[in-house]
Amino acid sequence: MKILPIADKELFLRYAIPCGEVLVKRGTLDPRLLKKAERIVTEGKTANIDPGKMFPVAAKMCTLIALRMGKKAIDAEVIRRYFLFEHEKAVRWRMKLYPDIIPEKCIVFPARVLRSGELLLVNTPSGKKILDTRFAPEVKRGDWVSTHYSYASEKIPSETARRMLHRKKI
Amino acid sequence: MCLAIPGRVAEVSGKKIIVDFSGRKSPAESHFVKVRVGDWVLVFGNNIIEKTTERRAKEIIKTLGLKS
Repeated sequence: MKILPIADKELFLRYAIPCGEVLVKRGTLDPRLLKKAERIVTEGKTANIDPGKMFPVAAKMCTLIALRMGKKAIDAEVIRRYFLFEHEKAVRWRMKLYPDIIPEKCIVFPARVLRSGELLLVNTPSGKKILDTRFAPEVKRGDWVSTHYSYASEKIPSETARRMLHRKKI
Repeated sequence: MCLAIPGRVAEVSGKKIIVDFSGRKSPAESHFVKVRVGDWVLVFGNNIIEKTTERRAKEIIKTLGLKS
C-alpha cells in the first residue's frame, strides 16, 4: 500500500513540523527542508515539497485513517482525526514499550489562551505553558488552540477542545 | 509524533504479526510492507511503518537510548 496524497499540506505541516527537530537530530530529515516547510505555514508559500516523504510515519498513520473513512486523499478531516484524536493512542502504545519520551510533549492537547502576544501563555490539561505562536499569530485571550510540543498548531473550536478533553486522561 | 521504534518480526501467521522489542513482544499490523520472521521493522502504534536494516535499527536504539 502506498501513502495517499496529502490534500491539505499546510494543515498536515502545522501538526508534523513540531516533531521536525527530533527527526533532524535522528538524521532522517534535512533541516533545510524543515525551514522550507515552516515557511509554507508562516508565509503561506507554496513550496514544492512532499510532506509525506518528510514525515512518513504521520503520513502512513493518516493513510490508514483515510482508507478506513473511505477517502482517497489525506484531507483536513483525516489530519485532525489523527493528530487531535488518534495520535495519543499510538504515543501511549510506544510509551509502554520504551518510556523514553515525555507524553506531555508528544501528545496534541487543547489549550486555552490566557495571554496573547509574541509568546502565548496557555492553560493545558497538564498546567500552564508558554507556546510559540508563529503558526497561529492571530489568536486572542480566551481562544482555544491545539498544541504540539511548544507550538500552537492552530486555533480550534471550543467544541473540538471539549471533545479532546473528554478523551484525555493524564 | 512519529518516532517509530525498531523491532524484529518474531512471528507471522496470516495477518497476525508479533514484533519483538528488545525482548518484549507486541502484536502489530503491516499494511505497507510484506514482512517475514527475522525482518527488522520500524513500528508506531502497532503499525509496521517500514522495513529497516539491523544496522539502522541498532543505530536508532543507541541514538534514542532505548533500553528494554
